Amino acid sequence: MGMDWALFQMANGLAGRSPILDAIIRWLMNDYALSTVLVLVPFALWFSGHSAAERERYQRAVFSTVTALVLANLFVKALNLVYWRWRPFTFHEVTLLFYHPSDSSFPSNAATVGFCIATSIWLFDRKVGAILYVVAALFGLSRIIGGVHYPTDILGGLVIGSVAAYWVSRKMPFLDRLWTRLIMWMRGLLLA
Amino acid sequence: MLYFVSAELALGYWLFAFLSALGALQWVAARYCLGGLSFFDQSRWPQSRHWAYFFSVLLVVGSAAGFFGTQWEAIFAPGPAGSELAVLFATSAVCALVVTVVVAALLQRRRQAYTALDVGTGGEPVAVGHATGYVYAPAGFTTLAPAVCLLPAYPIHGTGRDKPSQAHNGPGSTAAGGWVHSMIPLAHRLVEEGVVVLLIHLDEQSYAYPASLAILPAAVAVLSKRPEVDAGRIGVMGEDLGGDLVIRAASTAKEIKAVVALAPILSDVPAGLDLLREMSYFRALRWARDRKRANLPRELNAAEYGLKISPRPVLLVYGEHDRLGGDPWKLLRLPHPREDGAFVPEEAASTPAVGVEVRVIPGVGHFRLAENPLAWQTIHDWLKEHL
Repeated sequence: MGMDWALFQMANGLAGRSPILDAIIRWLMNDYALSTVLVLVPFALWFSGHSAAERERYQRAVFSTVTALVLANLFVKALNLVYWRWRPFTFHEVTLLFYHPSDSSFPSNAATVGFCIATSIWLFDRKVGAILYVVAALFGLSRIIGGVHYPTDILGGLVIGSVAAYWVSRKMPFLDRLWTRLIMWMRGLLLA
Repeated sequence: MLYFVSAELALGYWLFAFLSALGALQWVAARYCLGGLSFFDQSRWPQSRHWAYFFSVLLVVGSAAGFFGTQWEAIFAPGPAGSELAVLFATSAVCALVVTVVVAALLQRRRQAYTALDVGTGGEPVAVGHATGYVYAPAGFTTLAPAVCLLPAYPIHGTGRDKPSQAHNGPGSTAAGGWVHSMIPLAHRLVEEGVVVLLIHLDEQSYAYPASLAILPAAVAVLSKRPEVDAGRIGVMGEDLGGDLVIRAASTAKEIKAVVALAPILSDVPAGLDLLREMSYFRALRWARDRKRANLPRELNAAEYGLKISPRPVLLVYGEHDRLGGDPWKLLRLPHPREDGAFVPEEAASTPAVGVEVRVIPGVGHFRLAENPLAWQTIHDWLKEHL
């Protein structure tokens, strides 16, 4: 906890020093910018690929991403029922660059979603996945600097999102058959 | 229950997501040559491709600037939560896809125009089995000329290809209005070079299997009886499924001297997004749902019969961007040299000869192959050598 607080203070110490840096952090940490990038990439991936085989791989990645997101969010909702963590600004003096979110600080929803998408895609395409990891990391880091999350909240989101992605993609082989059927059906509609 | 908090913010985000998704689709369409999703003319790649990339980036960056510029204060107050944002993005993405498909189809329809060419001589109508044909002879011949019988591409409903036309004279037209033939420009070129051309009009009915197998022997019989034709120099040429038909028919009709197949299908007709490379979504749907078209490649089995034409020469011509035509390496009993299925002219040229030559025309797809001057030149040179 001490280490968590020390790291938070170090990161949050960057906020409020420069209006330009604050504007950048606020742009990165809001709910609309990077989250749109994170969902836009899988959307574009659905139609990507030079061959039918390559495209099918991406489409499986998209199905896997959506399923993992549902699983990860359900887990976060369930976790919040048994464990609640107050936000850093609730009992501490912090430089806040955002509004006061009212949900539990742990785990970070933003990090859960970001790392879940990044890991799901990374398991199918290392290059695109690596780019999404950078986006997800920036999203998480900016939320610490902006004063709405502790570092362990982001770490928790990373673990939950990544494990959900790995679990869906590697430990649920029956889903592969479902994806195959769905892709074949959508191929008939010329959408896959 | 969804609660969007601020209708203005929610609508602003929806618009931002919609335009971003539209931009993403344009980028993907340019990157992977999906003409059915592109607002830009694929036949003018790579120039229009640069514009497509620019347009897609402009849409994403412009919509982001508009959204964050107008909603900067609102986004730092409580707004739509994750589930609401997911709904907003999902609906905007679906709308972007629908708009993309419809606009791309409308633009493609506007761009499609057949070039009517006049060779200056009227065609002579002839009966070719259960089909119709028109013979065009070069003006003022003095010696016996080689002859080529041309089979059109299999028609697509409602596209205007191979449909009656009121527009012009020459190959592909009759005095009474006639019909448009997908190989008119090529026929024009062949007649100019001193080749007698028999254009055969095949509609969906006359393409029926196995009745269609009788057409080419009948066409060769018609040509060989003509006084201006050298009966020992008769070739056949077909486009798309017409290519499959000429390969299959030539495997048994020994009087055919040379065979040219433009983008023959050879194997199963592709499905899914590959069809959008050269067709609009709606046209591709008609293509995909045509059961006769889907069955014909299997029934004609050109890949199997192709090698039986040997030692008579066969030329397979494909467009570099063709993903509708079959795999020529299948006919040659060779593995495809590239994993992504792309044609590379140098690789095709170095394919070991077994009486079958494969030529790949750069920068062309499946449909515009018969209109490409480089394809004409390739075919003309090859026919000159082999016919």
